[in-house]
Parts: sequence; structure tokens; C-alpha cells
Amino acid sequence: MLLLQFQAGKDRYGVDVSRVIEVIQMVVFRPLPHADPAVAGLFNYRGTMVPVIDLTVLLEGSVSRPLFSTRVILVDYPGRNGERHILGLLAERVTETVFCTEGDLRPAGMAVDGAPYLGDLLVHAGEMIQRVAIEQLLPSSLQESLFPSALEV
Amino acid sequence: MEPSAPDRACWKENGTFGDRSCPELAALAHCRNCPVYSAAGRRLLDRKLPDGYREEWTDRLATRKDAGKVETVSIIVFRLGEELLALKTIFFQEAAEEAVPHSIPLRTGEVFKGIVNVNGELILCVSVAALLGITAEEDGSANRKVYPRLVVVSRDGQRFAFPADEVIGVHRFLLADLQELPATVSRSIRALTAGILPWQERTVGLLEEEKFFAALSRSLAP
Repeated sequence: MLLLQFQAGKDRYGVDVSRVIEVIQMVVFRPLPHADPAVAGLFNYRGTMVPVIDLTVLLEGSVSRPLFSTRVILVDYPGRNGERHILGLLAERVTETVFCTEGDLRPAGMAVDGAPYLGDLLVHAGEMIQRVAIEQLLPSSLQESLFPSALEV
Repeated sequence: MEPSAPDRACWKENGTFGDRSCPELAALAHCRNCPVYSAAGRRLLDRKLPDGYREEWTDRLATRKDAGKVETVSIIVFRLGEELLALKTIFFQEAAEEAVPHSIPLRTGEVFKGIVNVNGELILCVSVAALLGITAEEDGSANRKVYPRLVVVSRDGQRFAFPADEVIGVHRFLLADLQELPATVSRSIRALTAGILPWQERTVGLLEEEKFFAALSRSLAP
């Protein structure tokens, strides 16, 4: 599998590219007042309103800086009833990918209650890259507020 | 992978762009294979976004992609003498090794050359150069590294093989780029060509498959 790497603070993370639709430039987001601080806002992606989560806020606590290497990773996010949504993940240093197999990943050994999306670790070139599980990224309350159609069905 | 990027441009001092004294260079051959060089390149992306950049991309990504609107055609380009010709790739089967055709008495003519063996199959061999009135390769191009091939084409179950001085490869063209032939082109080429396409400062004549295969079939008649 191929992991698309990003960085939050000093630490490297990766998402499985099979979920990635497109990696785009940092655009202007329309803020969502009173939303979770990790929600950077909404933007118009080719006619679809796409919510964007700032992974730097989620993982590190500070806002992603506006640099060329800061990108929005558009991923295919599975909804509750099997519907598909597009979710934007704003992250810094989205410049590298790395090949690995499932066997290369080492279990983290501990689970963090507040962060079920943090997965196994890959040791690559002296660095540890932690896989982020997209499907567990949003807490259920946030998922409901971002993709409310899931409730109506 | 993020090795510490150097503070100075080492590739200009002792690397490929400098005096080449870097000890790593023997194994890497070029600085572009070096992680230090690529890390420095990646660091260029850590610059601040210029004014208006985010706004421009916001507008650009808000518009729908017009994918699939552009009509393209895939063609196989080959060379006969000095002429570049092409046929739609769907009619192309293979580029085989050169072979001498086995002539058929009373049938073999200027265009129809006989039968060739391609991978154990017997295929009718024709001379497209003779059909189009193209003169053979001149010796002046012997310094170019070219490999003559036998091109196998097929349409509606009809298969033909013909020698080409060079098979250049498969290319994709915009149909909109197809242009009318200039009036100066010889009549035999004009009759069998759909138009010309620009390619690397030269032009490629695209053969019109229906007329081309019909002309090849006609050449079989005694």
C-alpha cells in the first residue's frame, strides 16, 4: 500500500492513498461558526460543498500554516448508511509518499481514548510514520453535524 | 523521508553542478539521486503562499472539470523513406522483425509482395511505400540508429504486413489538430490520407483506414 505522508508539529503521519480522491492546493475556506475547532470550514469543490478538517488542529493543537506544502487531501469518507462523502483534510508538508506492506506496520501498543483514528506505525528511514484511519477520524457528533443526511435516512 | 537539508547548496560546491568531489557522488552518479538534494527541493515548498494564490485556486476548483470533452485519437506512427505516416492504433497488431516475403508466381506485383511468416502465421505482405509512391530509404540516414520493422495491421479480419523503415510508436492526438493536406502532396498519398497532424516540428500523414485497406485488397488482384 502507498501512504501519503503529512506532518503535524514534528511528527509524521500517513493516510492510505486508496481513499484519496485528489490532493489540492490550500484554498479559502468558508468558516462554520460554532463548529468544532478542528473544522477549518467549507469550500466549493467542483460544485459540491466539502467540509475540511484541519489535521494540524486535531493532532497538534495549532492551525495549519499557509505554505505551498500545506495541502487539502480530499478523501472518500464512508457515511453511516453506506453513502459516500467527500471530506477535505488540511495538513502540512504533504510532499512525500511511502510504499509499505501491511506487515511493515507495527502496532502502536496503546490506544488513546480520544483518538481512535491513530493506527499502526511504520518505521521508515529512521522516522516513525503513524497511519491515520480515515473512517474513524470524525467523532460521531462531528460526523452528524458535517454530514446530516446520514441522520435522515 | 526527511534528511536534514543542507544550509548551503552543496550540489553547486562539490556536487554535480560543482567540482564533483562529493564522496557520495560515486554511488549516486547525480545529485538528483541524493536525499540531501531532494530534501532541499522539498523545502522550496515550505514557502509562504503569495497573495491571491488561495483565492485563485478557490475559484479554479469551484468550476466543474470538462473532462471527456476533448476528442483524442491514438495512432501508431511509422516512417517510410522520408514520410511519416500513421494509422489508428486499433488497426495495428504488431511490429515484427523484418522478413523477406515469399513471392507468389503470377500474383506478386509492385504492391503485393507475397507471403511472410510472422510468429508462425502466414500473412499477406504488401509494400505501402509502392502503394503511395514513396521512394525507398536513402543511404544518407545510415548514421541514425533505426530498426526497420514489419508492421502488421488488421481490419475486419483482413490482415496485412508491410515493411516500414522505422516504427516510431503510439501517440495520442487531438482530433481538432487534424489538418487538410496541402495541395502539393502527390495524388496517391492524398487519396488514402485523412489529413495531416503536427508532430515534433514535422507532420504525420494519417491514413484513412477504409480507403487504405481497400487499396491493399485491390493490390491482391492479378
